[in-house]
Amino acid sequence: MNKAIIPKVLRWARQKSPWLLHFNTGGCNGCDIEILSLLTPRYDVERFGILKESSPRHADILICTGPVTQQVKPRLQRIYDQMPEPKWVLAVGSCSCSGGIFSGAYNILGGIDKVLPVDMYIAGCPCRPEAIIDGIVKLLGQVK
Amino acid sequence: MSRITVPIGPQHPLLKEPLSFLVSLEGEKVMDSTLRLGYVHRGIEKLAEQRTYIQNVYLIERICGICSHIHSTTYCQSVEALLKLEVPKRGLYIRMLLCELERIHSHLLWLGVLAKNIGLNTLFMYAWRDREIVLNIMEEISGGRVSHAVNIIGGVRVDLNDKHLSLLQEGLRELTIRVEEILRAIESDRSFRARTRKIGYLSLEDIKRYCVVGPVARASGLDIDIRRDAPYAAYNELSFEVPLMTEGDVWARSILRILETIQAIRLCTQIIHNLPDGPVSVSAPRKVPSGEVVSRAEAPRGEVFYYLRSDGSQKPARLKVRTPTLTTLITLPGQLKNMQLADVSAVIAGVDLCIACGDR
Amino acid sequence: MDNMNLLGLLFRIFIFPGFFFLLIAALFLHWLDRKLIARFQGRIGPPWYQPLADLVKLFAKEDILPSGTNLFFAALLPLISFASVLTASFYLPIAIQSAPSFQGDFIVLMFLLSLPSLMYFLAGWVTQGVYSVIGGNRSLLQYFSYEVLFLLAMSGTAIASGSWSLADIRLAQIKESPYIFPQIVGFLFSLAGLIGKLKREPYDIPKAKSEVIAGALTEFSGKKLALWYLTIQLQTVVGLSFLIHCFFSGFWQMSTFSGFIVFLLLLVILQGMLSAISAIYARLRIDQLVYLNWYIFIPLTLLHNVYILLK
Ligand code: SF4
Repeated sequence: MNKAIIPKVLRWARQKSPWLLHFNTGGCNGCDIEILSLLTPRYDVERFGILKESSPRHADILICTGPVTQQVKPRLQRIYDQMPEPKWVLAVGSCSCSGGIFSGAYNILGGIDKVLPVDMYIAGCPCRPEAIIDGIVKLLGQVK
Repeated sequence: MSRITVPIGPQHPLLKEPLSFLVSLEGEKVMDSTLRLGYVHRGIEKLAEQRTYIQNVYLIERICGICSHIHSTTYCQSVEALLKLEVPKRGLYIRMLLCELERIHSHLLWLGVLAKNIGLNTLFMYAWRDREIVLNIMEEISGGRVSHAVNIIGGVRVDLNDKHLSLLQEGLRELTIRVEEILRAIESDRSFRARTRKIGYLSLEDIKRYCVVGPVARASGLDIDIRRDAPYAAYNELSFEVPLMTEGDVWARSILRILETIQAIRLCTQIIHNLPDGPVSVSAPRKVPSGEVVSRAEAPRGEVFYYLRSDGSQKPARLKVRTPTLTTLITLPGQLKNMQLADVSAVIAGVDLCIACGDR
Repeated sequence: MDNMNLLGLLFRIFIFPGFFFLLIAALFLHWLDRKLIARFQGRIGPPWYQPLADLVKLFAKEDILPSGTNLFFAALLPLISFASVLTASFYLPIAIQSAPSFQGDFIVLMFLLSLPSLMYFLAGWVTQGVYSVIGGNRSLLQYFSYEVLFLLAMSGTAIASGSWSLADIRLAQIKESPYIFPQIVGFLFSLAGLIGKLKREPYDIPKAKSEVIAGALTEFSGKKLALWYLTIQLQTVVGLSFLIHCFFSGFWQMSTFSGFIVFLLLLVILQGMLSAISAIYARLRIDQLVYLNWYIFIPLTLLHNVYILLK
């Protein structure tokens, strides 16, 4: 019986308390301010238990915006390494999915997935806050 | 006393964009700071040379998400100047309307960020709640909350209908009440004052030496505003005041920005009352005759400056963008000197950096 | 010791008013805090199970520390602070249960409640991150100002009752009147001291997000972080109960059910006050805080105590 209950409790806890770490990897700010709007009264994601944490060690989900510039890449890698398991990566915005409008520029790598394994892509330039919430919810639905 | 060096950024809750400060501390006191930029450098100026003039309108909007409209306005103005296009009055008015709405949204956003940085989360929430009114209106008009894609070369893409106008009137009335309330709260709140007064002081000489523009300059007593000094679009047909303060600290910048927000609301009301009839755009040719041009506009953070050179093809030969953040950035090490570590957050938030603009 | 006694003791340690009751109260108050702040800010706030989910999740997360950290101390520090808060709770007659009381347990309680702040400071040094060290240093700087304030303001009750024993403080209140009325000033200053202890706004300088990320806890993750959080939550309950005991416990007789209800109500009301203060004030700067405490609050408290003595 123990064997069945513990994973269930863990799964429940992980689904109910996703803490985000936001990192701008070279985006235009558009998606970043939409992520910040998530915290504010209109969207208030705290009702789903989502908190925006500031230390990588406390976070569960790394939420990245931007096409990954050359200079930001080592830092992105490092932040990911600092996060404790289990962790997920969310690419928010078209430019963090594929490079988007910036593809072809000399200084960008084109998408978070060039550097990190991405668990969920959210398209939109900029993404609507609803889309971001939906992305997080879908991501959590897959949590085992 | 031994010094320790604290890195602030590139990932730091204080900044929503990557920027790196190395602050060396003696106890809690900042002795020195160095700045490292370029984390958001995407090479947009070079990229613009590979795309056509029309594609560039949408690329230029992505220089910065907060002031996207002002960038595309300045860009379109410069292309129109090269083409010698006469944009219809109604088009210009709608452009201005969005510029001013964007100013309101940007200033409220900034106020929230400052409040968050000094630990006043409630004000952050209130400011951002009121900002949603503007976002709603902009979404109704253009279809986008943050990036609007309203400008096209030769005018604007959307027209205002009665529904928009009534929504605007209602929203602006509500905003006036809310913003005035915020102004009262800030002026009287002791803890806000304690954390922002005499912090990040810049004298008028410093402002002139570093060529600072925008609200930061106006809060130190430098009276510049492109909208009044070199009117673009149709600003010469509207009447507005340019608020001015002389204290030159973070507190003055806060009050000044809120006063500007109130002015922007007034401007919006004027625009919808004086909205001329007629078309909103004229069609523009794809090829732009060769020549060079300079275009300026007043962004929420100060003057933006575009230089455009054309060689007669469909793509620009050179596009140079200068944003207000660049000038404020270099004043930061001076402002931070001898401050407490706790004030670093207030100072950095106070000048309203937009790294995405600065790095491009 | 006969069997009945042992069972009773175990019951007291683990169920009521021991660990289990404390845990529930801590989680509930934490939820209440977040919910109230959210409501003040015009938001909806988290559901009731949120603190539990957070803790369970943290306990199940990977536990990593930067290389070069002394693992033994990193594990020991949160344990010590957790244990000290738990121990404190046994001396304190939480709700109606009478705890073993002796002369001077007031001071012991003070000491136990101040241990976590010291551990917090050490935690900053152990993990060696820049932000952790600064956060730790700040907590130590702040420590002296609010601890002194808390001790002085609370000792007003001891002076008035003429004894350093918690039981006597309560008896004296039952005989006369609850100390909240004659000592309202002392109560308010004790609340300020408690806010400092709990590192809440406007005394949240050591963990100011926009300055030092998460202070001394920046590098902690997983179980240890959970333990730190739990410590702070328990500290809230114990600290508030301490306040209630010293200022309000004259309101009910020994071991009555209604007394328990009053106790819980007071707990909720005080938590509401803490939340409202958090929502209203901006964070102070360290020099402002030290100035405020040493030049205004502490002299006033001293005057207040002298006044109580003379009375
Ligand atoms: S997706 Fe678009 S709006 Fe979002 S950061 Fe990238 S360019 Fe900006």
